Amino acid sequence: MIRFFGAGLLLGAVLVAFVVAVLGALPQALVPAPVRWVLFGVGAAAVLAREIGLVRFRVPENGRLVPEDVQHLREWGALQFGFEMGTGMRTYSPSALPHLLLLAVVLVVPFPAAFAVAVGFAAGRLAMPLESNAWSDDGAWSTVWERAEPVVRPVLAVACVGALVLAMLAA
Amino acid sequence: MTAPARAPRWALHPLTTAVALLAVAALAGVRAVTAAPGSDAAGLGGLVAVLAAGAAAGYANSGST
Repeated sequence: MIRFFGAGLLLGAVLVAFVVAVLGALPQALVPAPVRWVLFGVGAAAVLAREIGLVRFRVPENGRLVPEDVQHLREWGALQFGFEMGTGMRTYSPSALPHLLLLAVVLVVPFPAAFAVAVGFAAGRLAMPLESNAWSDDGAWSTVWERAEPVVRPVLAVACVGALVLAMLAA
Repeated sequence: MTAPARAPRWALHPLTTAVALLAVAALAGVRAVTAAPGSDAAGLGGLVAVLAAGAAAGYANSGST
């Protein structure tokens, strides 16, 4: 079942990356690079500050909970649910990093690299349920995550923002 | 009756995943910046860097599930 969920994640993420990369072709062609770098830098600084906990602001998200029965889905249901989750628009977003990815694809990430962003997003999104299932089947993962979250979120933010900035400088 | 021995779980811990992603992002990003512009090494480094950025965002977006 996890394979169908993973395939759905990949399909959803690639679709969003493609659409956003097509939209981003226009500003990347028309707006001078230094202007795009500054715009992205401002967004990246704001998101980094938010993830570290220095500032608080809301980001767009779909305020729908995931129903309990989703764990009983069969193949096509898992594929569809994975697709929805892969778009990043199915439920609440506990992080602003996906929003920063979209900004990066619009402003600074070259078209082909947008698909690498999508593959990475799907893989990262899949890693959590894989680790959770491997950890134990008694729900202890939630406690592990809650304890680690104050440290893990800033580390992930530095990794994401740092990688995007370095890739931007190298492009 | 004794409980079965538990395997070390450090590899599954979220902090391990986050630090691994940070390491990959840093290595690939630095490689992309320091390689000759337009070279295969620079391109590959940039590609792996944005892939790591995507993975970090996907992992952070997962919450606890």
